[in-house]
Amino acid sequence: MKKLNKEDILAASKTNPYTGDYVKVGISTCGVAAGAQDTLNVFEEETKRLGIKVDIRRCGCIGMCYAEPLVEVSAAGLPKVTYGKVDKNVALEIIQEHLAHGRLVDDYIFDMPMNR
Amino acid sequence: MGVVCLNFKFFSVFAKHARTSLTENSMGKNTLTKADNPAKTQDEIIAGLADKWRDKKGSLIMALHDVQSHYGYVPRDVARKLAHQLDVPLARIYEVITFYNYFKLTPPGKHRISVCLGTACYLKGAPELIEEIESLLGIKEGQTTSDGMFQLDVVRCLGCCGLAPVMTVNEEDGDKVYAKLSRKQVAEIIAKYSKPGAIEKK
Amino acid sequence: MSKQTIFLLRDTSLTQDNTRDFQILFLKIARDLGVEDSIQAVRASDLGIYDKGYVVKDLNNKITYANIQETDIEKFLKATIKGEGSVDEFKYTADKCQLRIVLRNCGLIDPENIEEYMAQQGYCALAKALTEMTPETVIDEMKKSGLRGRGGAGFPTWMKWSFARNSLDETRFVVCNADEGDPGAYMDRSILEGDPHAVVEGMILAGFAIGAQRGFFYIRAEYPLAIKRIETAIEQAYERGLLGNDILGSGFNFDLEIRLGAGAFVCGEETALIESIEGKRGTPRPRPPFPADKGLWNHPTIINNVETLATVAQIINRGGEWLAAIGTEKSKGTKVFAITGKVKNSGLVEIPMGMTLGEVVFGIAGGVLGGRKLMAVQTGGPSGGVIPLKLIDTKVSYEHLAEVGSIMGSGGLIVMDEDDCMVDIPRFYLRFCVEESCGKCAPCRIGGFQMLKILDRIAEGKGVEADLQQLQRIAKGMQKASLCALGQTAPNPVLSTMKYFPEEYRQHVEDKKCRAGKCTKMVQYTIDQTHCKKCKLCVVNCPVGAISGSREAGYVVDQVKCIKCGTCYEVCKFKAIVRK
Repeated sequence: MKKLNKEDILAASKTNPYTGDYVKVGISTCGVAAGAQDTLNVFEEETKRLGIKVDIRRCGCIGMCYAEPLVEVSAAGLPKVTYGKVDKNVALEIIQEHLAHGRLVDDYIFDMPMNR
Repeated sequence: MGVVCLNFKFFSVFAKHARTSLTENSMGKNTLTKADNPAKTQDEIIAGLADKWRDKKGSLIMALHDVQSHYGYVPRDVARKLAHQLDVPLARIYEVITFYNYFKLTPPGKHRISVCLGTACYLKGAPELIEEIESLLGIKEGQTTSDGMFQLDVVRCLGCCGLAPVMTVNEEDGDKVYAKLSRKQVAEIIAKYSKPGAIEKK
Repeated sequence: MSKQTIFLLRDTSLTQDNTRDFQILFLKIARDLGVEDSIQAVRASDLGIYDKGYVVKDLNNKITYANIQETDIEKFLKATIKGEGSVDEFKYTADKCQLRIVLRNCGLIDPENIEEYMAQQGYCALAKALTEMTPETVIDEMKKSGLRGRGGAGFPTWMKWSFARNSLDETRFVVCNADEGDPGAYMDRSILEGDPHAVVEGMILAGFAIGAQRGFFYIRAEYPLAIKRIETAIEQAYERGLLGNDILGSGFNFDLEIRLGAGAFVCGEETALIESIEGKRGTPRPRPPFPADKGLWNHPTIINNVETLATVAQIINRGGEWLAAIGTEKSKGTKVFAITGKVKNSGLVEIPMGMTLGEVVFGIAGGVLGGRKLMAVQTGGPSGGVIPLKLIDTKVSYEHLAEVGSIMGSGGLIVMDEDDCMVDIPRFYLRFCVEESCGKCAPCRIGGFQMLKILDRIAEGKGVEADLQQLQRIAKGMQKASLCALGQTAPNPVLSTMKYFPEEYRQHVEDKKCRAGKCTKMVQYTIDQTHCKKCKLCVVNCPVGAISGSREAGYVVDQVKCIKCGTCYEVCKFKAIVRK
């Protein structure tokens, strides 16, 4: 692989890997303990089965351990939201409602004020 | 001393995505070799290990990690051969093994129950879980049942404090984490593992 | 699909949740106004706002409105959807909220993909340092930032670095201390798992600043996922020439490797950690010489905590003054805490220094679990102190926490409610320190053991008045004479609880009573016959068959058989079991 130089790094800092619709599942020790791997599998299998075009991605822990497994969903036309306590059933509901019909799912949204 | 025993099998909890990225990046330097060829003899394994670590300064602990992840504990004859291969006194190896909680001198039980005793778990009732397991299995922490089926360990914080109290039981493909436990659930979990062949089949 | 405004609704009162009713009403009024098609009103689970009545958040415009009454909905919808009138009086901005610097990428990027880190200005600081700066200016920038070690002691990072930089010995090392052994704290694990490249970049920058050729990650073996992610990060950095020889064409060489801990808390202490990396028993060395002078294999070595290193790249990117503008006079920047125990939202938070403990516990973490009364919070794990409710307005900073007898520590923050016993908690921590004492020096090895024996005695109801003075005396000896911080700080939980909860110790010693019922040897369970409905639930559930009797005669607990497990107390639906 090519060794990077300064210009490569500066160019890379202007890229955006998050284009298009995506679902991000938090895969960290606490998330996995709460069942995040199952959640991830449901998203991968079901979106493929239903032919929904969406990137299934992984990320680390956002820190809301009490609400694991956590899933961030960004779909066209809708603001980005974070769902918490997403087990298999909630995952299916998110696919059916949020991804397929553009309707947010009740009772699982966690929206904490944070500055980054 | 308190006992910390989370075998490297914990690794495979994350096996699914672990494997993909490992193959993508053909790991070099820092990889812990785990899947040694089973056909290798003990001597070959130890020789391989010694070759890997001999020239690296201060790597005795890393070599012992490799031994333990292969055998589940550090057998005496392996320690002796390792001492010979690495050219360190056997006493130094035992000095290290007995200092660190992670290293074991006896083979592990079939089902290793590790109850977390971090502060969060302690506050939320881990001592009662330990009491319950001790009375159910008739063993104390750090012991193995006489049939070798269960081993009870008390471990330091597993870092799942949001899910306290937590315990893990090792399964074939890694440790299964049981979260937000109650006394009653503990009994059910142990019953589940007590059934013959319950875990191997899955 | 037409563009819709999305509202998140939430009843934030702590006692009841009427969000569903509110949502039905909200939607009905929207229908009456004919705007139902242009909105979505969704019930949220948590908006991070507490006790502000009904809260509605407009997700599209990112505006939060609080304290909205049912009667305000019509006015609210008219204003926000139709633009008739104004509802600015309901606008709410959180005055205290998290500030994520170290955790900025955690939970947002894929930690196993270097490209995603690079898209967030990753390795820009490295490029800047190697091409535009000298090691001295890097250290200068660190000095301006005022960053202090996040492992607990709070030693100025730049000072450590410049000691090593100015050493005559040219072989130097950088060590990342990721041996996070504090029970109930897992900030470092989350950073390593969530943003490993930030730590790797910090390591390389530290290496450049002090002129080191090699670095070591010392990680707890109990963190397999963190180890794997750091391995991946190092591998990716090597592939792209960010590690190895001639980094970015600057002529600077730096290698990184991982060393695993093996379950010894004392190895978090820097000199013990050095011994462990050298492959020996992890026992501390006397200081001086300090590691920055004679560390690994007697070469100058700087040892920094994960969180400290994760901050470095951003300081270089944004300048030291930027960090110095955050925090208090003597404590700059932010601190990550793992809030656990009896708290509603346990998890990781990052707050600017100077926020009060109360703001963290009640404002950010949602208060005590089940709306119970806060008893105390504990910071610093086994080395820290217990801070009572009356001091909840203490600011989070190195100096303020030290003033009240605790320490900043690595970032554990444990919330305790009325059910926790202030003799039992320090006993838990002390037992931890006794088990983890390496045994090298006598004050720690013997002192800790003796203190624990006294505490055990008190908890069993066999304590005498003189025990309390004896505890103080031993504690003083340990603080003054122990070789390393483990022994010096081990008495802190005991001393702070004795200071703030003397009446609780007195109760244990004089009255042989434990208010919280945690010291089980002193507790008695009895059945209050006036409340007992003879349902036999306790009889069935008692694990040792200590409860006997009949419907006619009533049931009693056999105090000899009773193991004081509290099962009867938990299962009784009529509060007929009395715990005293």
